[in-house]
Amino acid sequence: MVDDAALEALEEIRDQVNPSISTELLRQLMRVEVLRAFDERPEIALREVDAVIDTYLRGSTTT
Amino acid sequence: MKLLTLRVSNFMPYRGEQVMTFPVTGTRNVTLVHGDNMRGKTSLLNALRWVLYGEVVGRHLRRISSIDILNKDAAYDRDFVVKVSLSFTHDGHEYELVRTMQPKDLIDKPRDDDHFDSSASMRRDGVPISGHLIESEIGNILPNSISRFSFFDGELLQEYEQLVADATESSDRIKDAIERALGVPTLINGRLHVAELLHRAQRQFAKEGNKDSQHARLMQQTLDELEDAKSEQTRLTNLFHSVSEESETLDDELRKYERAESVGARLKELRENVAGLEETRDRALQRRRSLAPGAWLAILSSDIAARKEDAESRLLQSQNSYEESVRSKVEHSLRLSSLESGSCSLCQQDLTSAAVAEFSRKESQEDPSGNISTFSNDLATLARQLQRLRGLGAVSVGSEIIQAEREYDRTTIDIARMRQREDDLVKEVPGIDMMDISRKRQRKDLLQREIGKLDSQVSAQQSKCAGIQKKYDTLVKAAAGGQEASSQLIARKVTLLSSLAEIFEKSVDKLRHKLRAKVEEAATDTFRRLTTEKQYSGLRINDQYGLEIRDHMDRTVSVRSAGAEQIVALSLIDGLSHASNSAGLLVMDTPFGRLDLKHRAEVLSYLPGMAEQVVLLVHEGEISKDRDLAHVADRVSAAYEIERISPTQSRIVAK
Repeated sequence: MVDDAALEALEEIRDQVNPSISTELLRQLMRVEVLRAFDERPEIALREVDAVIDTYLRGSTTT
Repeated sequence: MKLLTLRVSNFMPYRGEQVMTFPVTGTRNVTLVHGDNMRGKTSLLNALRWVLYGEVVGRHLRRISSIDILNKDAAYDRDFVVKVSLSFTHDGHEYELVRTMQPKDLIDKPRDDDHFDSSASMRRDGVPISGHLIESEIGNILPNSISRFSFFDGELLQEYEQLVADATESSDRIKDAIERALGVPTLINGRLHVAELLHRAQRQFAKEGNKDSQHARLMQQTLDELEDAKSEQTRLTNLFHSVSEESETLDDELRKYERAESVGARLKELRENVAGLEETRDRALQRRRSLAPGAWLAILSSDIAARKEDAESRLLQSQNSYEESVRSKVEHSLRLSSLESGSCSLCQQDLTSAAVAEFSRKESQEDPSGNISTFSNDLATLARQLQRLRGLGAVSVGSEIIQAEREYDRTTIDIARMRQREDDLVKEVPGIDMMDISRKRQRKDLLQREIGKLDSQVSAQQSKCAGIQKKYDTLVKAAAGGQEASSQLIARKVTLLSSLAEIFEKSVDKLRHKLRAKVEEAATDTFRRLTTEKQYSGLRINDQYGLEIRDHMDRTVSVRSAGAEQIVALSLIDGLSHASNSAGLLVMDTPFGRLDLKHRAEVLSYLPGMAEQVVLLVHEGEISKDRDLAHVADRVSAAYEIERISPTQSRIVAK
């Protein structure tokens, strides 16, 4: 439910700011944040978010 | 998370191994643990905390030391090993978690925390989990920071109540815990990560991505301008939050004054009632005093009644005798005059010789003249006596005294009750400084104006940032055109991260708003089920996650009883579990302390539905086996009793 509510909020704002950003990217970013929310090592989460964005950029033609 | 089995050994009052199972079958999902105070109910809650998080907390979240975790009798017998194991299921997996504490090597007899080693092992579906991953595995199942919504006690309820009452360190702590439970930090972390990556990408692009030096300089200038604008936006936003926070604090304080004013009105009414009662009491006292001199009559009332009856009877007799005497005297006079004249005084006929003989005989026998005066005197005496007796018996003095006495007692008790209530109300509101209220109201108005001004400034600054950002994005796109693929990728990354930064920034507030609405809706639903005052319209949540009760006209109910506070707190917990990633588990230690019987019945009926699994740790005073269990009996899957063996030892017995 946490993920759903947060994702829902992100999607609503995304539609106003930049609708071309995919829901899948937002979902993957949230997945990293949820999994790493209680990890004491913030650099791991940062690296994983970076990886998600790089992967998205490589597979996407529009941003 | 669903508990299966808990084993505790030498943990606090439990000497040797004690085992509990927590079955859930069909609708039966409640495990009931009865135990008197000081027997070890909270220790069971702590055993769960310890096996999961390696810490045990006492009152006011004070950490309990390792040496105090070890059972005293076990320590005396030189058995220094404490062990708690918990098996549970979560998300389709079965877990076995064991935490052990034992003396370090070469420590013969541990005396403080440094003398112990503590370790944990965990298996998921029978497969061991590596030591350094155990903590994060538990964090994913039920993080410590939000475990208080699953394992909670009266102290947590008090913290919730504090949350409603004012802004203190503990309310900040609980607000933070609530936001963690609701998942807000996930977005906050996301915002931080995206902002950091954007910053890095911008620097990288400025450094490597642009081969045109003039264009690069322009971009660098725009970037610097953007950072300055953002920094100003941050400064204004922080100022806005700081002023808003001060305004909210003042709001809370002024709300307390409103509450104080409402209490003041009730105090006034109460005092008027007391004054009225005192008047009634004084009148009753006065009446009792005035009746007291005649109190002896009440003692003699039966005697007086008998005498009155006797006097009335004798008066009747005397009246009859008197009338008889008068009649005899008249007859006597007639006979005498008839004998003297030789003819009847009434009919004037001559007397026969027989009549003369009869009249003469009667005259020799009777002379009633003496009796009449005697009877007359008696009659007068008896009439006076009866009048006096009737005067004595006319008013029932005894019953009037009793009535006055009762009135006095009743009003005295009512006054005492009201005085007690008055004392309680006075304690609710400390002394009020009207000047201070006035100053605070002025300050609040000033802050409101400041908030409006800052809000406009923040909006203007946001527009400015957006404009510069747009300019920067255009520059990035222009620079990316005709660049190498790697540079184009960095440019696209900057643009994407720029959008994501804005999305995450705005989503945090949006999520907070949505979650608060969800919590309010769920908590209101629960509150309306639990409260016995069905006229209340519900609850309203504030920014601190405090809840206000709204009455049938949607006004805030400012004065709340201790029982009502507890119901509100329970409603908030239920609201949170509905709005958050609930663990599906609820372990409650002594949750019914301040509830009256009706509320207790409502809560007991509702509790089994609050989670998939409920463990209630209660004492007899809270849930009587005879009186209260009926409300939850058909949901109980297991029941245990904590029995006292000695002051330092208890055992768990299945019932």
